[in-house]
Amino acid sequence: MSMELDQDQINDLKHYYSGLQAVEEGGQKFILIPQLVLPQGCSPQTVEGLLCPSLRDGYTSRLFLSAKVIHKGPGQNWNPADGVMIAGRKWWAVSWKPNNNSHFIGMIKAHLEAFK
Amino acid sequence: MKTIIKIPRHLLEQAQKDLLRPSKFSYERVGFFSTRRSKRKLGVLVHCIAYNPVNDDHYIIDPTVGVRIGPKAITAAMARAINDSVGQIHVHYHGGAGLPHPSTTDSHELPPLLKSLHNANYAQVHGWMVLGDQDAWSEILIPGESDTLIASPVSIIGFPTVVNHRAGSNTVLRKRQRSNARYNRQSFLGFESDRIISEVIVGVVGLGGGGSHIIQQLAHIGFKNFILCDPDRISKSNLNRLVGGTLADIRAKRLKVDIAERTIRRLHKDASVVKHAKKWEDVNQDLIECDLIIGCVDKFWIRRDLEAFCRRHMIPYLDLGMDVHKLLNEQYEIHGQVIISMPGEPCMKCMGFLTEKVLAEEASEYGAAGEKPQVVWSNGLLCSAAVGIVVDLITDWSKAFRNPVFLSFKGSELLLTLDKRLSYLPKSYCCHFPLNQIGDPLFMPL
Repeated sequence: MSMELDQDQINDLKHYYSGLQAVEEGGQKFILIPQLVLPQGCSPQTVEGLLCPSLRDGYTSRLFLSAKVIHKGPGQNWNPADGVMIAGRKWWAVSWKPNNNSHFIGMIKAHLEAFK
Repeated sequence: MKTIIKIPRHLLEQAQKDLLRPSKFSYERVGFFSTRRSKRKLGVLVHCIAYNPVNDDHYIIDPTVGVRIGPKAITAAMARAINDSVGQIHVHYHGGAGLPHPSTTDSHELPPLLKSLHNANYAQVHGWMVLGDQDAWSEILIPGESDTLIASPVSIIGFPTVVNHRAGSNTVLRKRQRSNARYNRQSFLGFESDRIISEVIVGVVGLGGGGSHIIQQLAHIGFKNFILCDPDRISKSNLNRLVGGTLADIRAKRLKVDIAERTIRRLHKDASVVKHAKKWEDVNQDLIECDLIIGCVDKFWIRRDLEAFCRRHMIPYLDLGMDVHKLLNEQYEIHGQVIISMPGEPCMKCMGFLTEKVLAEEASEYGAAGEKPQVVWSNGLLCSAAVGIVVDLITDWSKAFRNPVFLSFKGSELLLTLDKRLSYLPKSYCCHFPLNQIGDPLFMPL
């Protein structure tokens, strides 16, 4: 069963990102971030992000990207390597297990560490 | 533009039950299907996702027609179209075994209603429909089109699944097909079975040990429309189980889709085979055309994603697979499964087959699990069961196939049995893939 998205956390997230959208699939909710700016050195540096704020594939949360970016950060294992289909589109995520962080903003910041 | 309307069987039965209730205000009743859509390359899939009865006090007594609804019923339908981002199809019941037809009054009075609904939400599909027992006549308006579509093909998705492609509605053709000696030994499948089987479009994802068995059997039975996906070429270690694969194929490094096509064409020169040496997600716009999809893949996460795709576009999904496990006593055991995941019915998560635990274990391997043991006989047994399910699903020959299927295989005992987890299934419909999430994904602003 999917978790409900906490409105206070969504409101906080809106201070950092505009145009947020939600989509649901397979009992999980996802937050679409249309303009996610990745750390310096990533190519491309701006992508679409799809945050899964709940447990998925053994990860407490996952941050999927619309492109398999080239970067020199520690998160070099793309898992799965060829991306996954979510809500009719292909997405990529690195294998990255950040410290437990129940706040959406904290989750995103922790995931971005993989690309620094 | 080819448009197909899909109705979950339980929704159709809910509508038929409501529409057949006696009414004090009219000779018959009406209701509305809420719809969503999936865009395709050359058309649209229209999915009926909810049935909405018309309240008794929304009827108007008018003895000159079978039924008349008042402005409250139409306002309610328009409100649903706006508030729920859905289309609305006015529906009433004529019954009968074949394609029903509208009355003169229907054809005169209902098209203006269609235009009112379109004005309420022009981004969705609206229309009106006359229900039969296993088919429906309709007039619908697709967003962006100026002309309505009449009598689009209708598929009823459930146990059994009815695919009305309309192509074989010629009775002379049907008689000729029935006299085809090639299928005399399977005539018990039903008078219409040759036509049904030859029209259904089957997608097969994965053409190794499982998929090669599947397409061979389907072709023998008379299936002629295939959409095949597998990016791989045959290798020496496939020869122990890939049906149709030869030493010459190894030398030629032949694609598995080409071997599969060859197997089919040796039985049907006129078969329609759309083949892709690509991953399924890269050709999903072709797979959307399938009446059912069979997944012969070896990863849990691929099954999860394939099932989600099928649910979104209301396509029955049949999953099969096997694994060899080393036991604590150093012996080996073969485990396998055949599952049908039917839109609107329990999914592979509901059945306890796809769990967070198995997905997490698989993800922790980073896809580097190496080649897994596979053998031809257990693949063959599982595939034969899967083909049996497919044939029963679309021909309803046994009249007994009415529930979700989860078969488990134990190799050491050569046993294929109903999985015990079926008995723990929730009685309500699937909570992971509710009908209101069918159709192209809805990204809702936050």
